[in-house]
Amino acid sequence: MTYVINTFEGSAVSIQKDDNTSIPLDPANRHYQEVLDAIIVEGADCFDGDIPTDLQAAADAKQFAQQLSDYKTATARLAQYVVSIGRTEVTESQPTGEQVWNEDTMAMVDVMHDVITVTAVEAVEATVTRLVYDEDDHMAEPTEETIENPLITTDVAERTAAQAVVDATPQPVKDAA
Amino acid sequence: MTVKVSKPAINVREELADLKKPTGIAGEAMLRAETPQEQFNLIGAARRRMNPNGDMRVAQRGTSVSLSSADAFLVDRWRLNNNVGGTVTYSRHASDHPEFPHSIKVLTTTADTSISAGNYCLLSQDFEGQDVQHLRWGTASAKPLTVSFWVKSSEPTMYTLEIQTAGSIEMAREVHINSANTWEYKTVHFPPNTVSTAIPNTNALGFGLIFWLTAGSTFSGGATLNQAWSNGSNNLRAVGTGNVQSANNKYFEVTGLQVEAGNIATPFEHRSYGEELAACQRYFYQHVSGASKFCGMGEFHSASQIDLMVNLPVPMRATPALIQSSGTNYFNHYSGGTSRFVSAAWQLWIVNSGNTVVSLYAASAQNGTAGYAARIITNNSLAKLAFHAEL
Repeated sequence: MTYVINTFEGSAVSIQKDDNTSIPLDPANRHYQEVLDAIIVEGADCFDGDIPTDLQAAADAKQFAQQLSDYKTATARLAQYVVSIGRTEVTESQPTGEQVWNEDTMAMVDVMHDVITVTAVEAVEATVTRLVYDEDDHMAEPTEETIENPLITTDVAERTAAQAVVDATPQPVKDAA
Repeated sequence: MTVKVSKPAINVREELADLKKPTGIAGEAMLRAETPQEQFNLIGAARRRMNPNGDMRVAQRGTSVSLSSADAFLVDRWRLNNNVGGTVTYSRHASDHPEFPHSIKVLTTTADTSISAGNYCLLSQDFEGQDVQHLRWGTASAKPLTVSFWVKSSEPTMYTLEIQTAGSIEMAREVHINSANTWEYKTVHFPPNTVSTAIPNTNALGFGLIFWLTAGSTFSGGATLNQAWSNGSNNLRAVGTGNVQSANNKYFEVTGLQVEAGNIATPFEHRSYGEELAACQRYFYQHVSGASKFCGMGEFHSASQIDLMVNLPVPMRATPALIQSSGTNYFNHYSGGTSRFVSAAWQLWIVNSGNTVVSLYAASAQNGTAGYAARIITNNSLAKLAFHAEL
């Protein structure tokens, strides 16, 4: 898809697509957003002539926002516990709200108690066993097959995908997170 | 003196039984309602339907289009996004439903039996954020949503109906087709969405209502369908969805669709064609299509540039894009006692603040005189000017 800027008396007024769709310079318009997407993906190839500075800036801002959103989603996914390892309990000493008089320090001090801030989750079984039926011989006894626990498979795949997003994220985006 | 009074005998047991009127479940609910507002809501009075064109009547762009690895709006407000290599016909169909003369039909004409992971075929309608504020989604006061519709398919199968908010918080529901080629009435409930951030109170996207008609493993390969509000994995969004494109002549048909707040599906709210059309024109307006149509009054800015002003029938959602079919001699201008041609493409110049007036210009009109007024008329059966502000 190729775009060109329409000018009227020297000012950019709209963007013309090669199917003659005339696109307003309005971020709320879906066609305008498609122009930004094309600039992000194709760069200067999608434009007949130079990409106007403000349009390039809008595309850069949109790409930055997308990368930031993807990065936050990916880091949140990686922060979740690994299902094959489980999660250990975490306790924290927190004030109960009561205070008592400490004769040594001659001051009121908080009464503390331990609170579980993260509950423990046990690791899932590493493997599961399933019955496999012979499609060609319906009378045959099924055989057992041991496979990796699908929960672990899914967890690993999602963590790998999330890590790839983190690795591909430019440093300025990470700094803004 | 003793006076003797005689009265007819009363059967106390029968009198008590008479008090137990057959009110039914709805009647019981009405009697138990504690406020007039609750009774109002139970009756389903007033304007309940949030979505325009639920009866699929309005189709300004045409009534049929073939899509292969493409997407299109056809029936107003309804977009079919088919990135599958097979071909489907998306049409506004002459329905055989007893209440609704029109439906949307998605018919497979060239099957794709090897759906790849990233493939999907989606029929969707998007809602503006400012139109769904009463749901209070993203707050502790969030309300449930009910979607009711009639659906028909070529085979017993399952499709998925999903809502996706602007912040990609999603929730899906199963839509089971029990019998082939039979209209079935479905009601689908979505609980209050307290998970997403508050829906922006603007003309931007609030949420999208999405029918999944085909879903590759990227969207369906997970263990179970995501039936809770969450920013979940993509592969849970359409688990178990059938594939409308696995064989030729498979189809999905839907009509009488109503989206409303609350847990009760009330009868479809019928509106006049004019009202429905106006609601749709906020997003798309077909100004002229075909030969010998009046486009409006214009004026010659210079000897070769003609300007045209178009009044839009309703304020559009955002500054619209101009969709056109233009070419050699597609438009005439009548000016200064002569009729000549406008062959160049029209270009969008400027709109007013309320998106109700648009100014266009064409840079190469024949033999004009600067300052002269002109009437602009279409001169080709393919000529078209339309304005597009869909979400």
